[in-house]
Amino acid sequence: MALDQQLLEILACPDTHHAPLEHDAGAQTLTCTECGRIFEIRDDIPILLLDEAREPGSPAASGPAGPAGSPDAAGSSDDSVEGSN
Amino acid sequence: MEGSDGAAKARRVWDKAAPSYDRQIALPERFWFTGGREWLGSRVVGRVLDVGVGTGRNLPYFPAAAPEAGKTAGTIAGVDVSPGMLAFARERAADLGLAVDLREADAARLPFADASFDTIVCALSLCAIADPRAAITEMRRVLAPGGRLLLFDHVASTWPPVYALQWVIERFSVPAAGEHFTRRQLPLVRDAGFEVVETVRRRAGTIELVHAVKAAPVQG
Repeated sequence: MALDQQLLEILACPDTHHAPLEHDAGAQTLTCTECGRIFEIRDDIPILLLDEAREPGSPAASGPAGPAGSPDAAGSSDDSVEGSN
Repeated sequence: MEGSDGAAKARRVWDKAAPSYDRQIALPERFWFTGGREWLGSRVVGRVLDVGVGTGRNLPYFPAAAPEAGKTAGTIAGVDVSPGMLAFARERAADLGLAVDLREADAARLPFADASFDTIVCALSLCAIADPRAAITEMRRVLAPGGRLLLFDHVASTWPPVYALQWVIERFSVPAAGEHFTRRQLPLVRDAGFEVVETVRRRAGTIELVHAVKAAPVQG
């Protein structure tokens, strides 16, 4: 579901710089234009909590980030890095 | 990041409480909180943000829910740390035919640009928010100049025996659920720079309603 354009305009990063967010409809994410944190949209509700956000450097979750409507796409922040050492 | 620790705990507590919240609050709502949500709703103007929207119990009282009252309806947004509570809010909004933009967010770090709203409503939430001072400061930031802050909460009683009881309850409720009974928001509202327009104190002083405004800069 498309986020309301009017509200998307006032949506901002929860960090103190409150920079605008960029909506990626395909990936169902919002990305901060300042710090690069990636916020997931789960069941149409953006999760705008700093401790739930993905850091810009961290690898994306192995699967596509949350196919719309999957309630349990959570908890994949620590990807298994197999045999990297 | 002490704020986010509080938010993480609150999220656990309220996700767990969500399925039974509406049932459990029905009785206090009727005999203790009586009329508080109506009081808030009747003062809502323009674009409104409900901080700690919970299961959406304020929504039926917003002007947008009763367009026949002749008031202009603005956009409605709601934030809560608990996705469990938000799921019920979404259901209620759908039942009321309201478009409500719901966000999972921490009251002390609101995910909105400055001056985005004309009214902020916060009902029965500052009692459980880890850092109410930070939350009120954030509310002021996202309010437009001249915007309204509308609070409704249970606060420390003015009557000593009741206050003593609240103090005792808090020994358990704070560690268990982060729920406070001896707080008072009004001084924090003043400290944050709001102008207090009206207040109502009820039920041996345990209920307080606050209507404050973020003063517009003086012109010319």
